[in-house]
Amino acid sequence: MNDLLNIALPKGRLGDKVYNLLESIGYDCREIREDGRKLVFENPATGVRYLLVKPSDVAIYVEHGAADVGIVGKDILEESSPDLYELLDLGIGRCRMAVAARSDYREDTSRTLRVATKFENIAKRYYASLNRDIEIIRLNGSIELAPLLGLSDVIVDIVESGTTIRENHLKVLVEFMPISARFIANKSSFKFKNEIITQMTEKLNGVIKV
Amino acid sequence: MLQAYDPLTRAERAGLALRGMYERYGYRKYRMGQFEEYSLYMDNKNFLSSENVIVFTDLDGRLMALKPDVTLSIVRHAAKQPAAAEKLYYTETIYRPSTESHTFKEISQMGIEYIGMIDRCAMSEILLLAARSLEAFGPAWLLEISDMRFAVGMLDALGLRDGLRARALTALGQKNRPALTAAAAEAGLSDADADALAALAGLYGPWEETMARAKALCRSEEMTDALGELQALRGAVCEEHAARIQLDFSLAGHTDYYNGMLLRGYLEGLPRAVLTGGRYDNILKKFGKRGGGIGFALDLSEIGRLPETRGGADIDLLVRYTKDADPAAVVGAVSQAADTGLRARALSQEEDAFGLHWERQLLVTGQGVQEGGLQGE
Repeated sequence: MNDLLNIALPKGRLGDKVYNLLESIGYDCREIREDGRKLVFENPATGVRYLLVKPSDVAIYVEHGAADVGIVGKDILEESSPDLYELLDLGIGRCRMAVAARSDYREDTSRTLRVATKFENIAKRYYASLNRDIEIIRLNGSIELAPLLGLSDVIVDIVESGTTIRENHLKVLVEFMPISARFIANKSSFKFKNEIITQMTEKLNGVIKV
Repeated sequence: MLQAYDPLTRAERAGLALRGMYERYGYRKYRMGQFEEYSLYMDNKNFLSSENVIVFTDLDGRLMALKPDVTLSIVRHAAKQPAAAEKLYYTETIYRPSTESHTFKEISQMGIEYIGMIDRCAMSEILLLAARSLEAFGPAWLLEISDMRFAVGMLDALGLRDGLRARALTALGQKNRPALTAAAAEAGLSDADADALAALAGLYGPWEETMARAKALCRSEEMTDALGELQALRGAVCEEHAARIQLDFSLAGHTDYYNGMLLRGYLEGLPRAVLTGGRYDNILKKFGKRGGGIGFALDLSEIGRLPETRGGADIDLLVRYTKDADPAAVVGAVSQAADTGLRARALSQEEDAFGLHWERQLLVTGQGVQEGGLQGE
């Protein structure tokens, strides 16, 4: 699998924006849009192979060299701190990491704060920077439920438009980290496939609107 | 015709070749104790990549640790020696936490250390041996060189301190231009200074071209000295290695550990650096030893993942035999194959060969030995 440049792309919400971006620099993604089940797409004309993976796994594929480059949200990089090169801020998939709570919430600073989140490390770092003692409740989804049911005081999660937060009768208390998609590269691939990765970086840099 | 079986893996073969090479260059083998006193790591934890160490109480009550690092042990040994220069090599097992699995990982390491007066001859020798060590594992390798003083000198010249400096160093290691630009903005740097900081991320590539770009970015004597010292090593790089040795000033390792030249080596097909090293005078100073230290380590565990060229069979010759076969003929057939370097084993025909892969098969019956088909399971 070494002759082509292996690109790990996220499935799901960020996917469409990423395919548009790649098409704008001449990397054909039509096949990906058409086929809903395949996970590997080859495009010998442009010398690339796309690997469709779960957004949170993109960085793992790249760090372990199964993919040479990838496109991944900054939230994933901040959470897992993988050892790789972060070459570009692509400016797409913009959202914020935020703290939210029930709309009638008032913080009791005399108690340990219970924080429900998928982003354990990000939450720990944020509250450590505030010197706030917290208890993490690690959840994998439907985080918004936690404060409503009294499972936690607040949540730390990604906010894009804020609709989910509002619809669940929550309010954003603070937004502390801007997030957008990043173009990442495996450190070893960056050396051995430097020409093609550098070309791709330059093309992407030419079209991104940061 | 089946070829004689070589039990050594690529990494093991190269490891043996490297031992020979290090000995020929005057390095002595240094075998250290399996455990170190925990106090060595407590007193020097700023030199370790992680404070997490596997600790246990020995039967005599001393608190011991499984080594997370070899250089500290070697420096402690060398610090007590009256000799001016120590040239040592080692093959050791170390235990470090894996950031991926969040468990401790056993890593087999091989490396060399040069401790004493480190001049440009010593540095050239280390550079040459690093290149030749990588070369031993195959033709597709790359060695990157940097000098800590260049990146650190830039941060000093731009007045980046404390948290901002740490963030800039992390961003540099990721070649993360947007993060460097953000750090520059936070520090209130001028546009020219911000551009210079961001340019560090892209300061890598072939020696001459990268050196020229680096010279244009020099802002202090420290940075100029770093480039001067690196340039003095250029002559030690032979022509056949020149295309595989590059400069990369975004390499800015552990600032407590390293203080000068830095080395990182890669092998094609392996996702991480397999060779790491550099100049570590600070550790010598901490142990009260004059002079400096320089060396590198190869991660043999990572190198062990290189694909092997040998086929997928478990054995070369399977000798199947019937109940009435002469035991001497069965053992004889196995011995004959083993003596020519093949892997052979006998298996009664009454037994299932399920899960076994072989290249060639013989059948021994009461009537004698006959060829019994090729390759199978």
